[in-house]
Amino acid sequence: MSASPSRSAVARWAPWVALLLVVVVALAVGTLAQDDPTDAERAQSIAETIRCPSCKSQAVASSDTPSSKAVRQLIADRIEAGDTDEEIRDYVASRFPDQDLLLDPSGSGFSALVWALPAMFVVAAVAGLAIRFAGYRTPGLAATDADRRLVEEAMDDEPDRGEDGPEDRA
Amino acid sequence: MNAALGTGGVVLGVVGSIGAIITLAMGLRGDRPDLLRMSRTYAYMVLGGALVAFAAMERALITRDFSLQYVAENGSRATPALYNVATLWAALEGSILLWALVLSGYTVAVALKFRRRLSDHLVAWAMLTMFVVTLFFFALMLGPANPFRTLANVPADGPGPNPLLQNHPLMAFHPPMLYLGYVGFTVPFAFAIAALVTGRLGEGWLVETRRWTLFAWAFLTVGIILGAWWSHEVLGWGGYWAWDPVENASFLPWLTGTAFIHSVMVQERRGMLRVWNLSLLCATFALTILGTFLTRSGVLDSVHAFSDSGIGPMLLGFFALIVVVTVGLVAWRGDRLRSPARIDSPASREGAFLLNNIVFAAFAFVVLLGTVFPLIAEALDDDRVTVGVPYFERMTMPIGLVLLFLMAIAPVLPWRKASAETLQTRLLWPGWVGAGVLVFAVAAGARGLAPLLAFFLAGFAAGSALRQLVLATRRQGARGLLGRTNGGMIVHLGVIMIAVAFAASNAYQVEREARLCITPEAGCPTTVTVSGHEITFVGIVDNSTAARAELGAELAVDGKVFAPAIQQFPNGSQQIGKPSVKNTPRDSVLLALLDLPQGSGPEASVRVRVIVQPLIVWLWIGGAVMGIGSILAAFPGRRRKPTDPTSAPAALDAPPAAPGDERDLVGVGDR
Repeated sequence: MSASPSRSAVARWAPWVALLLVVVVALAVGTLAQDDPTDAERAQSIAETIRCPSCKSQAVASSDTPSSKAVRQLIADRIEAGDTDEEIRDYVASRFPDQDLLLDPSGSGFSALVWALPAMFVVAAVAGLAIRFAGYRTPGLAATDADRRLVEEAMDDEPDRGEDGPEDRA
Repeated sequence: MNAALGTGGVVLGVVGSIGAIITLAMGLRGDRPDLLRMSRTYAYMVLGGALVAFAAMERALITRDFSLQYVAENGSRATPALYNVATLWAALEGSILLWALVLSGYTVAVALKFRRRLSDHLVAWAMLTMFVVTLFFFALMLGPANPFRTLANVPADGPGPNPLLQNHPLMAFHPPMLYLGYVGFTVPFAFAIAALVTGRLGEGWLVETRRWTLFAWAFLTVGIILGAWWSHEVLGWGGYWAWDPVENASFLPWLTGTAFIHSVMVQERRGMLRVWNLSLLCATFALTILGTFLTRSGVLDSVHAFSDSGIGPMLLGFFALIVVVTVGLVAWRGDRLRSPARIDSPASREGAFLLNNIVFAAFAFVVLLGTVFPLIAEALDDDRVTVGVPYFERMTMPIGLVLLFLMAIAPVLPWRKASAETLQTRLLWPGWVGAGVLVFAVAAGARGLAPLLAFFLAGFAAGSALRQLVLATRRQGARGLLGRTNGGMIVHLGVIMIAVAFAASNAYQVEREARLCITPEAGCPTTVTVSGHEITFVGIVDNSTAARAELGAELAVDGKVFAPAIQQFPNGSQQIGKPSVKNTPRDSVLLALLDLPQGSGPEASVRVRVIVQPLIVWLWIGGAVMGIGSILAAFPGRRRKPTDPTSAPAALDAPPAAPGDERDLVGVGDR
C-alpha cells in the first residue's frame, strides 16, 4: 500500500469495471436477442407442467399413454386457437376436474405453503445469522482507552501507526 | 437348504449384535477393557452372518431355487447371469440384505481401523451405536423384510426382475454404490453419538471420522450419478433426474452431507459450530432412514417403490428414535458445546462456509418439503396435491446459481477476515474466466438469462478452483493436487461440469418425432435432420433371445449405427422401449422407437423419437471427476516440516504413521 490511494484505486477498479461491462453486455445480448418460442416449443413447455392423467407423477411431455397423447393434442389445438400458456393450463385442468393435473402446485390456498415456507426458511436463517454476527461484534473485545494508552506507550517511537494494523495482513 | 442357511446367517447377525451390545454395555459400565476389546470378535460374527445370508441368497438366485419366495417373485430361469446376481437388490427384502451386509462390513472396518483403541470409551460407544444399527437391520430381516420366506408350492419358474432393471449393466453397480454411501454415514454418526455420550466433544472425533465421511459422501455421489446415467440410457426421454421421491431420498443426505463436509472445516480450524455439525451429521443419517421409510413403505408413489410391506412402521420408529436420542443428547451436553471462538467478519472463509450451509440447508428443506408436501396436504387439508418437476426446477434453480457464486468467491477468501484489496486481486482473473465462458456461450448461440448466468458463474467458479490448483502445483508440483483443499477444488470442477451440463441440456434440448421409411416409395422420408444430425433408417433387426423378444431398427446417425429396440419380456404384457444413446463431448443423440417397426423389405418403416441434448456426457465425466477429487482429498496434504509447530503433540509410543494416518496425533489432543 505504498502507491498513492487515488491512483491505485482507479488502477484497481478499472479491470473490474471492464469485466462488469463485458458481462452485462453479453447477458443483455444473450437475453434480448432470444427468438420467440415456436408453437412446438410452447407445447413442450406446457406439457412439462401437466401430469399424465393415467400415471402417478410423470409429465404429459414424457409419457406415451393414450391419455397423455390426448392431452398433448389438446394443448396443440389450444395453441392453434391462440390461447395463452396460462389459459391452456387452466383449460386442461378444467377438463379433468377430479384430478390435480398441474405439476406445480397453485400459489393459493393451502398449497401456497409449499412456495412460501422455503422463502420463510431462508429469511429466518439469514436473519438469524445476521443477529449472530451483530452479537459477535459486541464491545466485549473492543479496545478500551486504557488498552490504547498501553499500546501507544509501547510504541511511542511510532505513535501514529497504532490504530489500523490488521488491515495489512490479508 | 438355502432358506435354512440364510436364516441362520440372519440369526447369527442378530445374536452377534445383541451379544456385542450387552458386552459393550457391561464393559462400559464396569470400565473393563477386556470386554470392550471383544467388540472386534462380535463385528466379525455379524459380518459372518451377513456374508452367509448374502451367499445363501445369491446361491438361491443362481441355482434358481424357487422354493424361496424372494426368488420365486423376482428371479426367473431366463434372466442372464449378471442381472440374476443383481436381482438380489431388485426388491425390498434383498436390498435390506445388501444394506445389512454393507453395514456389517463397515462395522468390521471400524473395528480394524481402531483395533488398538477398542477399549477407549469413545470408540466403544461408537461400536455400541453401530451394533444397535446392525441389530435393527438384521431384525428387519427376521420380521417384516424376511428374504428367506419359503413357499409351500414351489413354482417351476419366476417372473424375473422388473424388465427395466435388466436391460442395462449399470443396474449392477448403481445400488451397491448408493448403499456404500448411505450406510457409510453410519460411522460418523456413531462417533457423533459416542462424542455426545462421553462428553469428549473436542475436535478429535471429527478428525477421526473425516475420511469416513468423505468416502461415504463420494460413494453416495457416484451412486447418484450412476443412477442418473442409468435413467438417461434406459428410460428413453432424455431425462436423468426426475425429482422422484426416491431420487430425492438419496439427494437429501447428500445435501446435508455436503453441508457437513464444508462446515466441519470451520469447527476443525476455529472450534465453532459444534452443535450445528452434530446436527448435520445426525440429520444425514436420520435422512437415510427417513428416505428409506418414505420410499419403501408405500406412503409415497414412486417409480422406485417396491410392493407394500410391514416395514414402514419399524423404519419410522427407528427414525423417531434417532431424532429423540440425538436431540436429547445435544440438549444434555449443551453446556459443553458452546464455543469460545467468534466469527470476525462475514467476508471470511468461515463466513462463506456459514452461508454455504444456509444454502444447502435451504436446498434440503425445499427437496424435503416438495417430497412430503403431498402427504401433508392430504393429512391436514384433505386435498390431493402434486408437487412435480416444475416446482423443484423453479425452486432449486436460484439455489444452484447462489451455490455456483459461492464456489467462485469462497475458495479465495482467507480465514478470519478478508480485505477488499485481497478480493479484488484474487478474484480478477477467475472473473475474466467466467466472462470468457459467457462471451463464448453467447457467440456460440446460447440464449436465455438463466443458462447464461449459470455458464458465467460456472466459469467464474472454475477460475477460482483452477487458481488454487495452479498456485498449489506451482509450489509443490504434483503434490499440489493432494489434500483436502486441492482435492476439494477438483471436486468443485466436477460439480461445475455437472452444473454446466445440467443447464445446457435442460435449456437446449431438441426433441422431434418422425416416421422414417427405407425407400421413399413407402410414403415417408428416409432421413430426418435434427440439430444438424442426419438420421437415416437402415433396416429392421430381430434380436430376440430366450429371455425376451426384441425387435429393433438400425438407424445411421451421421454414419454411426444406432439400434433402438422394443423388448417384450415373457412375464409382462408391457412392451419396454430400449433406446439407443451415443455421446460426443458436444452433444448426445438419443433414439427411441415409438412403436414396433412396420412392414418388411422395401416397405419397412419405423417411428422414432429423436432427442438431441448438448453436453450430456459432461454429467458423467463430472461425476467421475468428483469421485477422483474425493480420493485426492483423502490423501494428506502438504507434509508438515519438522520445524513447523503442530497444534497437538505427536504421540511417541506409536509406530511411524502410515501415510494418511492421523490417529495418534488426534487421540492425544482429544484427551
